[in-house]
Amino acid sequence: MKLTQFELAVGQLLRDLDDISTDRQSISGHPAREHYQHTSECPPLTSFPEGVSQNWEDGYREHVSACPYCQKLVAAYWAVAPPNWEMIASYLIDSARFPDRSAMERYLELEHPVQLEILRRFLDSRGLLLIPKQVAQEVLKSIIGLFITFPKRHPDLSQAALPNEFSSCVVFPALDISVRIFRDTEGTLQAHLALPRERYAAEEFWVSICGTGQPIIGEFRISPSVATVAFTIGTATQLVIEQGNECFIAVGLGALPK
Amino acid sequence: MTEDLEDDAVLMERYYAGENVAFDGIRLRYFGRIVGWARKAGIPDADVDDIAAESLLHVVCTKGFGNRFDPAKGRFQAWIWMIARHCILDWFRRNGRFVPMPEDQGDECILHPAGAEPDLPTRLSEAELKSALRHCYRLLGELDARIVYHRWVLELHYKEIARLLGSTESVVTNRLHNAKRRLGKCIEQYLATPGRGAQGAAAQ
Repeated sequence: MKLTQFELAVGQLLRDLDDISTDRQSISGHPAREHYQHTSECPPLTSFPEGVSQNWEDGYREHVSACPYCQKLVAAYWAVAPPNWEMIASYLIDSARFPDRSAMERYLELEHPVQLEILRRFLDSRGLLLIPKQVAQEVLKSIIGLFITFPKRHPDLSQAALPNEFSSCVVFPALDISVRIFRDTEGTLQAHLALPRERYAAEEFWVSICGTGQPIIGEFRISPSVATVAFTIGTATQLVIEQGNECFIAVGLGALPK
Repeated sequence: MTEDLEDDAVLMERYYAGENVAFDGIRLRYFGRIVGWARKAGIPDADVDDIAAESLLHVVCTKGFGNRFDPAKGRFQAWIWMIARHCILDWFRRNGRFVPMPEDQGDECILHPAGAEPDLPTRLSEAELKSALRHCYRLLGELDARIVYHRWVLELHYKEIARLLGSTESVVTNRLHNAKRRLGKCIEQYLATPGRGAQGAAAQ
């Protein structure tokens, strides 16, 4: 419903009025002030994008990890530029040593609880939450994964009525592999994996799909002798998106990490 | 804001050009202002500073992630307001006090029958109108003032406002309708009072 001219005009004037408050003491003017948790040690606001995404300069790293204000800003930055899944997984594996622990807790709690749960399931299914943390971090480096989100207008993949109605192509640039998930003409949910045979002629692949449903994970071993692989993921109908639209697809070379 | 202060648009231009220190001017001017916006929206004092800091960080991030401020498209204050509003609405969502509405409900005709719409005098300056509004808005009372703010400033739907205030949609609808009528009448009377209007605003 659109606002009328009067409402718009009054709304704008109200917004610009600095000294009114509906139920609290008036704010007289706007004396320059800082966040109540800000300290003189905090890095400038403008340095956060570079500091979070790359590296902090001049010894800021230690301060940012311990400062509640800076941790809130790190979380706010991630709301704009989300951390990659490796970072979240690294936090899940060893949260005590994660440098922005408070920020990650805040970010995951406020922004992406579904991704957190999916990643936890994935790591758990791989046993990465039980083995020594350093070993788990090393294993993590050998896995390439992506989160995909199915269109919201189709909340449940199993309800797809038309052939090829669901089609989601996931590309793993580092491996030159793409995975397409779709429902074929007979109504079976399938995934097609396209890979450059000449590059991986002697290697075995694994693909892991993890969502919010049951069972928690689907795994597929793929022979290197074919260029395109099609496999039925009927169980993944529930597996992937029983309760949501997001799932995590991981691909790796060699044997499945156990 | 006094005239000797550098224009917000110029500060943003300098910041976008790589002069990070120019952003301090924006931060100092708008932190308190965003805190005020968040308070007026009914967000608890414990969280208003976070919203102001998040909003300013979002402004910082426009340098690298697009949606930069463009003075050709409007005033800086309107632009930063949209960013702050987004953060305010996010707070409501996070705290489970927000009901996203799919589409308009189409009840405009019930609220605003033809000819019932009050008007703001166009001959007056912004300062004069603000003076009148400041006076009349305070007379609305806390609940009506909040409803007006949620609807006309935050542009929330009636159902959302009802949820936030723990009330019903019809109560919100009726109170807003009455508040608008009272506000329009009050502004008219305030400006007609001798010593107010142009002179009154200038004196404040």
